[in-house]
This record gives sequence, C-alpha cells and structure tokens, in this order.
Amino acid sequence: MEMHALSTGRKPRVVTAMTMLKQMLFQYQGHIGAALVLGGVDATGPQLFTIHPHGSTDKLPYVTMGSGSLAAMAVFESGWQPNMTREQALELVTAAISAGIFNDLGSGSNVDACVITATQTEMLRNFVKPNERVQKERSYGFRRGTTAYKKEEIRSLIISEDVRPVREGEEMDTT
Amino acid sequence: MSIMEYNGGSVIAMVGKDCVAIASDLRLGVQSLSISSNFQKIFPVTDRVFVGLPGLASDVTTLHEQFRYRVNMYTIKEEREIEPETFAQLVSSTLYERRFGPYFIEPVIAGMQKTPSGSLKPFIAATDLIGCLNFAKDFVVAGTASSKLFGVAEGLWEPDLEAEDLFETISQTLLNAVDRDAFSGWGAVVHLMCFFEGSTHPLAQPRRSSTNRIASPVAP
Repeated sequence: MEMHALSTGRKPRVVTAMTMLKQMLFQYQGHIGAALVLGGVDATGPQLFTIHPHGSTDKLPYVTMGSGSLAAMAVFESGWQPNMTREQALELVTAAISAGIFNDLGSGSNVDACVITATQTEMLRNFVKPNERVQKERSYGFRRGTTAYKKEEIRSLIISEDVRPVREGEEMDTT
Repeated sequence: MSIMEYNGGSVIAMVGKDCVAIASDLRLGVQSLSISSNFQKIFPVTDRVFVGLPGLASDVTTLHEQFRYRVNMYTIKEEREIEPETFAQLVSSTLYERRFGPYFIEPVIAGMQKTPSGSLKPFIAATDLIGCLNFAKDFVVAGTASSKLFGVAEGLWEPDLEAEDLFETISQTLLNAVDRDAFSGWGAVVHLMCFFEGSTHPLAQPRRSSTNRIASPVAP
C-alpha cells in the first residue's frame, strides 16, 4: 500500500487495499484461509468491505465475518441505523461481538474494537472484558514424593563469573 | 487415518517459581501397534533450552537435525548461545517455510531466559505444525493426549510452584493424561530447570546456578 501511494502520488483508498487483498487471496485459491473485514476512511468517505478466503468481496453498510458472524449479524439487523454517532456505533459493535462471545462456541473472551476517522485511528484492545478469570476455589496439588522415578540425573551449571581487571585503576588507551 | 496420530506421543511444559519443566512420554507406535518404549521426543538445544517434538516420528528426526544445524549456525555467527525466545522464533520460521506442505510436528519449547539484570526467568512456548507461536504464562501441551493434558493441567497447575512441587505437578499431569490415551504412554521423562540466587535450597550450589534435573517417572 505504501509503495502504491508513493508511485501514484495519491493518498491510498480502501478499495485499493480491498483489491490487493482479494487478488492475493484469489491467487492462493483459498489455501490462505483468511476471512477479512476491511474498514477505512479515504477521499470517497467511510466504507466497509468483507473479503472471503477465495477472494470474493462485499461492500455493505454493516458487515460481519467469522464463526460468530450470524450472531453478530442478527444484532446488526435489529440495531443498525444510518448515520450513527461514534458512541452508538461502538455500543452496537460491542453488542454484536458479545452476541458471538456468548452464543457461538467458536468465539470467546474479550471484545476488541477499532474506531477509524478521517484524521486518526483508535485501537481499543480488550475494550470490554466480560470473562475475567477468578481464583481457583480449591487446590489439587500433589504431596512431594508422590511420583516414583527410576533414574535421576542432576547437572549444575554455574552461570556467574568474577571479572577481575588485570591492572586496576588504569584507563584503556583509546587514542 | 491422521498423520498426527500415526506414531503417537505427547509433550507438556510448565512454568514454576524460578523454574521450568518439560516432560514427554516415551512411546513410538505404528497406529495401535507399539514398537518402542524408549523413543526420545525431548532434545536439549543448549544448557538452558529444551525442545519437545511430538508428532510424526520421521519428522521428529528431520526437524531435530534441522534445528541442530540452524542453532549451530546461529551460535557461530553470533558467538553466543541462543536464548529460549529467539529459539522459539527460529522454530516458528522453520515451520512456516513449509506452510503448504508442513512437517507433522507440534513443537514445545522450554527454557530459562536471561533478563537484563542477569538473572534467569522461566520461558515456555508451543507452536502448531505451521509455526503459529503460543507464549503461555502457565503451561503448554501438544501431541495425541493434548486434550487430556489440557484437562488435568488446568486442574493441577497453580502459580509460583517451587521446583519440587512443579516436578510432582507435571509428572502427575502427564502420567494421568497418557493413561487415558491409547497412543501415548509406555514410560515418561521429565526435565526440570531451576535458578537459585541464594544457597538455602538443598539443590542449590553456592552463588548463582542453574540446574537441569532429569527424572524418569514410573506409573505408581
């Protein structure tokens, strides 16, 4: 993308990234098993794409991908509306991903989000953490000496050393 | 018939307090027929790094030779021994080179990593057969008994285990998991690496030292 921007002398566009990705994925005939959601803002405005592993693409106002895509799309279908504010959009994508986390067995743990505007990109890693691990309620540790063994070999590796200067207080000749 | 289950075998690595352990079974089979009960799957890379290679037995040998070659080249060029994390990256790139025709091995790496202060901290990692790295903070599993190892390890492992307790934990995890797997078992080996700053510990040498402890547990 950087090379393309430099050779054309223009700011890169989202369709360009989409085309480069789909051409690469099509070349590999689906052997690169990547299913992508591509979003961005360029000279033509904000836009969203999905790219399938075989190289086919969609351009839609709201998109989902992955094993939790049906759960997430169900949320989008009921909650999406045109020209949402940043807060409304963040809340909707979080709800969509959460639907996948809780209802799809292949999805789980935390929600990451990314907000792209014309001027900056904000990566919100672990935006919501609804599955924090709690302390184990019981310890099942074995008593020392439980495991019997036939052979033991111990090697000691002294890894520290003393460095003693040959002549103390004499500066190294650096001329 | 899965190639990953053709010869059988399992490896596990765990982190403890200033120590790390890696263990494997010793079985080599051809599907359900056991051929050997002394097949080595864990190999020393340096004094402080071990790699476990469960999977297709022919690829165990091939990859072991490949890693030996690449680590030797690294040691000559850099004039120092390879660190565990660096070795993990070497394993990853070696496997990804064969992205569309992989080696049927899921390596497990365990070692003591040098810190800027000069002490050593435990390090474990595992990759899938195309080199996708998993740097875990607790334990990693691989091989035909991996699903069982996950279950037992999740129940037995706890943070900051002392060397002696880590030995019991990893041994019992491996032994009980492979007992529920037809393709693993027939003996086991445990490698334990420790770091002692003081000298109060019975295994400790005066001053700073690192100890490799190899034990072959037998089923009780």
